[in-house]
Amino acid sequence: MTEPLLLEVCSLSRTFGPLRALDGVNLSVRSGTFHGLIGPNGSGKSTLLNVIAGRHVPDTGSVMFDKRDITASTPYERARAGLSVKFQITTVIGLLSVYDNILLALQARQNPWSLMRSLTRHALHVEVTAMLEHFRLLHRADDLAGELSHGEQQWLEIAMALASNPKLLLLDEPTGGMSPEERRVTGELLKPIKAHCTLVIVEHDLDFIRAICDQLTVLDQGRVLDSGTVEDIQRSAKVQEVYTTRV
Amino acid sequence: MLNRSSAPRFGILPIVEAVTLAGILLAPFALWSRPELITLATNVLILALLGISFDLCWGYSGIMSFGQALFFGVAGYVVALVGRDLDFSPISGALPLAALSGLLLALAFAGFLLLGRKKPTNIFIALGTLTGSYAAERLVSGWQYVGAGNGLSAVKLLQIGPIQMVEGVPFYFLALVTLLVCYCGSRLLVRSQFGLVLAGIRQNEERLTFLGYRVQIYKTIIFSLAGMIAGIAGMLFTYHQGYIGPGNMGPGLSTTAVLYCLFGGAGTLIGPVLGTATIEVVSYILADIDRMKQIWPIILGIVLLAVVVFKPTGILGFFVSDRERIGSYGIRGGKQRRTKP
Amino acid sequence: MSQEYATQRQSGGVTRRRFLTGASALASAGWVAGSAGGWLLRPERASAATPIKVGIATDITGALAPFGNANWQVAQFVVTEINQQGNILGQPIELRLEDTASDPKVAIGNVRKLIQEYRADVVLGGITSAMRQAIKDPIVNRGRTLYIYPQLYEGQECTKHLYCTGPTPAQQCDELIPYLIKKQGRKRFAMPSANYVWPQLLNKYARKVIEAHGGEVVFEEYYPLDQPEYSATIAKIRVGKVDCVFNTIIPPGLQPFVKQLYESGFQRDGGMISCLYYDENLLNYHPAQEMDGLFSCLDYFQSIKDPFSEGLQERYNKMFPGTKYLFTAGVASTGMYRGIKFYEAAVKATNGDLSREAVSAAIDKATLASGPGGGAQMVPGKMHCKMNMYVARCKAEGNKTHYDIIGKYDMVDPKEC
Repeated sequence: MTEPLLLEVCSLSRTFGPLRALDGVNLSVRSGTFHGLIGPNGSGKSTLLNVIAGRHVPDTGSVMFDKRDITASTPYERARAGLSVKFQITTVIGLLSVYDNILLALQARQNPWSLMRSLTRHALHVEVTAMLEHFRLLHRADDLAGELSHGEQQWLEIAMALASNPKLLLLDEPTGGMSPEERRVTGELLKPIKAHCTLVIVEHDLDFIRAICDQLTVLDQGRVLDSGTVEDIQRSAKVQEVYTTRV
Repeated sequence: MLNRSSAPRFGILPIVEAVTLAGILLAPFALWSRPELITLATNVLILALLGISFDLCWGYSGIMSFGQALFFGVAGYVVALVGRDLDFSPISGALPLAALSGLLLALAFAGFLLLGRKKPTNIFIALGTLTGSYAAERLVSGWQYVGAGNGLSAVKLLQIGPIQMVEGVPFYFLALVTLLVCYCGSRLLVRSQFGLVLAGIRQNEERLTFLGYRVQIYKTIIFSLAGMIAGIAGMLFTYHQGYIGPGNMGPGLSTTAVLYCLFGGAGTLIGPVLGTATIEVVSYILADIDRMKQIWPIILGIVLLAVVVFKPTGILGFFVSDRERIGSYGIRGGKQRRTKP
Repeated sequence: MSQEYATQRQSGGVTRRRFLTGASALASAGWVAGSAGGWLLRPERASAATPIKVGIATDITGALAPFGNANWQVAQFVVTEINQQGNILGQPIELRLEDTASDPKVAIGNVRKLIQEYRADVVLGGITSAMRQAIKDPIVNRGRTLYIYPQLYEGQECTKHLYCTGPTPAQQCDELIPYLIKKQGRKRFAMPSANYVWPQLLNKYARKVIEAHGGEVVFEEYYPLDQPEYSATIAKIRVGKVDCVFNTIIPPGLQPFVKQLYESGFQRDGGMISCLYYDENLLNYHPAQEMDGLFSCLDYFQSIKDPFSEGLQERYNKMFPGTKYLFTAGVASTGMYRGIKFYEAAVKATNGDLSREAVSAAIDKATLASGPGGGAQMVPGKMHCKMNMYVARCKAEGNKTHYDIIGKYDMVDPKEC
């Protein structure tokens, strides 16, 4: 393996009261790969993602991103470092238009002073339009984000997450509630980003995972069950057992 | 699946603004023979600035500040004191002094309230600002140098060049110009890309941090600017009334500012102007009726309660859609974005 | 009464219900509602001449309401008499009241109405010095109007066109304090005070007089106007063996202080209180026994038996029968009387010229031959007037008070400006 390690999670543990959500989890993600996180319900996938994203601070363990320790960094610091995230519950700004949502994401790198003077409003129009087009949302540009269908909102969120040109994109169940056609489109939207962005994706849809991911990590009850390429996992006896015995 | 767009065909707000502007420009001519009404109108314009100051905090940024009167009052005291002790009152000095007082004090407050390690809750900010306002009121009430409970009167008259400003039409126009400048500046700000960030903050603050915004910095900036505007209002008030006292600094006036804004319609800038005008004019009319004078504060309290519970968007909420109020931020309002090249 | 209001409504003004207290008396004396909320004598007595507009700005509501209401009634009384006796050179006097509500913040807005809306020719009023300082700017400076301040105070008000017709510290302290020290054997003084300008400057003056006559000020302390609890102060009085409390606390802190001092047994154990604004009206604030033995020095007491003063009281009581706002000196009633009479004298001297400069110049030299407690003389150039001063001691009789006159001092100089 010649690609450098972009994300390294070591011995991560996190409890919520009596519940051990994560127990000594390790994860290694190489630059330029699409890494899937799968496992039964309650296995801790979303928790792991949230910790990497910065929503929760782990009890023990560390998160190294691009050779920097971000275990206790604020979300702002993580974003600046090149980490972007789309959470499970859609968080588009419902009362702003689709256009404005994307603009908001694209202009995030600027300082407040230049934003006050609206220096980039015209320059960013081109980028916003391009992004809207790519994510098949151009015809909805003036509609409120809250008026979009569920699938369209997911695409908008992915677009917003990609707006900052991140090095690592974290996606939590991007195809939740989508039709098969929409899932296919989502896969089409994600594949091209591999050239410049690494992906860690939590998913239930195993077909979708198989279609786009190179590497998989399987979680069960807060622990890593197995990790490897898609083929490895498909053949893994441990994984099959878990998936047949647990819902 | 395809929803019809809720993009408005035309805006109500610009119409309301235009009508209000016309009214404000014509008022002194209509009221020429009634100097006491010109004084009332001037007070309305000055207090409208205070209402706008609160709107920038709450209506645009989700900062529930119960302390805007603090910046109002401190600036007022500052100009009254430099007038008394340094015999200084030219507008070229007094205006920057007041603006700076409001700005720096608000900045200090923001540093304390907003820029801690943990994200402050709305309750924390509300109580923090309320406490600041109350503490300041009690402090000056006992401090002899600034007049203690009786405040500072016989304030040295504001000077513009060789002219000494007393109540009347010239002061009205001074207040009008100040209001216009602050209003236009605020309007530009909240419609800029900076304003887009504020719109995001008040709807989903957490999302914005994940997009890479340092939300507390934005709140600090807007809070400081609001404090500056409140300070300018306080300066005009002091020179106009010829008086500033602890009552102009405390929770009473701070809450009145909240009322002006919520009643008229928060998040619109013109809403607070209309709210101030309505409440102050009605107060004036009722002040002559003794029985009303006693229960008027109670009525105002009930009105505030009713607005908060039943119509949080205020009077303008009946005419202005949420969409228009929040606005759009692309180039030229962007209808033409729909067309694919 | 309802006819009264019918008239008012027809005249188009906003109903001024605060006039209720005096309305019946005014109606029987022939007053009707005039322009812009003022009160005017009925047409058959009045001439066709435009009325002289006198603005009264005083505390009708709030902590000092008993003072303000007394002032307002005296103003009505004096003006009614002037109008009934032929007006001032044929011009009737019209009165308009604005409530300063014991709150400078509110007062400024209301006083402005007297100037801008009513365009008063002269304003009389203000009770506390804080109020005077708040309203003098809108009246004298911005309003360019003559202002007469009727209440006893701390002195040092030398503003042009602002005349003071109440006693000054020199007039009140120069005889009273030596009397207390020499004739009553008082040596150790306490100065519990309200925290504002009158007590601060008055105490400075009083201290000089006390120390010049061999007395000692054990402590001088300032409290917020609304302080309700004085046990620490009273303990200090006891521990310091204070034998005379020189009180400058004012309402609303006054009532609890006097009550707590009385209940601590201070007077029973031989202590004495003196308070310079105490008169018969203070029954509005305390029961009589709490004031028993108190010393005051004012320009008038009801127990003064001169025919003019007695006649004045009689006519006042006839106009306001059973009123609790008495014609007394501590609440500025005598100052209000003097102020209006001086104004009348000045306008007569200018032959009807109401411009501020003319009237001001005339008031500066004016003299009143008679008044409550005696006449008065303006000291030219000094904005203040000479008047008779009386040292008196309060005696409680049942639930009434009576001031025994101890000494009379003729035409005492105000020693101001």
